[in-house]
Amino acid sequence: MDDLQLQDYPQARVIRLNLGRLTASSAAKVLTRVLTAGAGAPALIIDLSAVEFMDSTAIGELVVLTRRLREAKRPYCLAELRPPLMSLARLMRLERALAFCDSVQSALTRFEQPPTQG
Amino acid sequence: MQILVVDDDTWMRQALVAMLSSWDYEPLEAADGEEAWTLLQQHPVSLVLCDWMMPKLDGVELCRRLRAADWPHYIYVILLTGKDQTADLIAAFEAGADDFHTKPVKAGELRVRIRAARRVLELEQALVARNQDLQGMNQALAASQARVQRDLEAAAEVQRDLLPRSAAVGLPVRLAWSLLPADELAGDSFNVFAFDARYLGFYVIDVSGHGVPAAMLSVHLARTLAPEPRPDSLVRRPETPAQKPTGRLRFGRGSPSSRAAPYRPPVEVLTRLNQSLLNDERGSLYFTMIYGILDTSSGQGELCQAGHPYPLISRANGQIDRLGEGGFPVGLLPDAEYESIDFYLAAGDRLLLYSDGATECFDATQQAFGEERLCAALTAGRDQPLEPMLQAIEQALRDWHRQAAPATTQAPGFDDDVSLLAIERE
Repeated sequence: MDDLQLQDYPQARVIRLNLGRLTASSAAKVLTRVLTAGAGAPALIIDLSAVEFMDSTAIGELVVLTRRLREAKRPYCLAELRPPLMSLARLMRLERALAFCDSVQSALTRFEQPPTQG
Repeated sequence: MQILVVDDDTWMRQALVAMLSSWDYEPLEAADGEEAWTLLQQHPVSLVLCDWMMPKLDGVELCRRLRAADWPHYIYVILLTGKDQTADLIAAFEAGADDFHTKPVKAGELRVRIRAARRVLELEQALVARNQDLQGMNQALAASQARVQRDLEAAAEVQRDLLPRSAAVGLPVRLAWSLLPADELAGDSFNVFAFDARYLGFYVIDVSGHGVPAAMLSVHLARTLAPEPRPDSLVRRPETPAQKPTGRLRFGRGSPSSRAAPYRPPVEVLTRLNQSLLNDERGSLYFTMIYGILDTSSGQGELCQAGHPYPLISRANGQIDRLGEGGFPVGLLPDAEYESIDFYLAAGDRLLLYSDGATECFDATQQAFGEERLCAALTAGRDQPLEPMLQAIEQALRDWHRQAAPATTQAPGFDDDVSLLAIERE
């Protein structure tokens, strides 16, 4: 199975990371591929439900990725972090600085465009 | 190429020598195995054309003796004989012959057999040359690795020198610490120091990643956070008032009484560090940290948590208090705002700071040691003096991690640096 799985919706592209561990040895390469894979999408939902462990370097790389997305004015959401990773995000206050969603579905709802009038 | 012809039949020997000379080889001749053996010691012979049946030492015995000896190069042996039974052929090959040629010798066939032997010998020589090259490269690599290892050990020594030298800081506190690096060099570091006869400064740092870059940053931070009075000191106020602050000490940025204290408030220190690291474009490292101050005379303290695990206070009555609600790591986000956390240590209370290498120390089932077990270990060691308590926590972590290592492993290394720093107010 490819470690990145893409699914397009009208409002966003969901990129699921099929990796149990995201560590210093893989994070930079994988997250750069996420950035490339998200090119052209109206918004990006990064599904982290399969990721069980991230080391500190991977966390840093994730923050760098979100910074690049923000700088490029591309809406994004980090979805379905497992509880230990969410605790780590809270410890680092990342929930205040990065966009998180409980589920891919809620992220899709967030990015839904209001129907255009007339 | 030198070829040794061994045959007790003079006519046959001379015929072979003539043949070889006409093919531009350098023939040597011996009348039996013993004479051949002597010549082999004296000349760099590559190929032996040897009769089977000879007096003193026959062809097969010569083969055995030749294979049992240690030669600097391979010697190819073609046995010449009238025997052509399969059993004879097997016996000759088992003795170490490489080829077999039945008498009477046919010049054309012998010539191509010698050419085939030459190809084998050339391949063998190329292999020897390549092996020598590889051995040379291996030696160079081993020397280089030894040099890197020596450098790493020297760097690790420098790192150890930056840890607190003595638990005696001249203040009414007891201190204990432990640093268990995952590699030679650690990304974790800590220090405890006295600003004056009243205020204790302390920090623990966990630089993201491992190895040399993380260690270099931790060494740089140790220098940056050094408490020695210098105009550019990050932790000490540039001008320390001579008079002591009066009244109850209040912590926090800009509080009137803290202006008189010799230190910069932790929030200011972390804010400056964050800006400084983000302005440095040389690397992408960041770190988590706790930096704090303790007024050892009143027990009032103030610390700042920057993405580092929650500090724990073990109260004298057995209660465990967890401090903080998280905070931004240093060097990750611009404009990160830090918060001051006030705490109080009564006499006998213990403050424990630790890196995530402790709580995220995994056993064989990938279960983390976790904060609960750490709290339990802290409680269990409550009646012990500070240092044995810390040693017991360290042992609990080692035991937990040892389950993850193969049974044969004597001293399993941790996956991440583990640092523990305990402060007890007397």
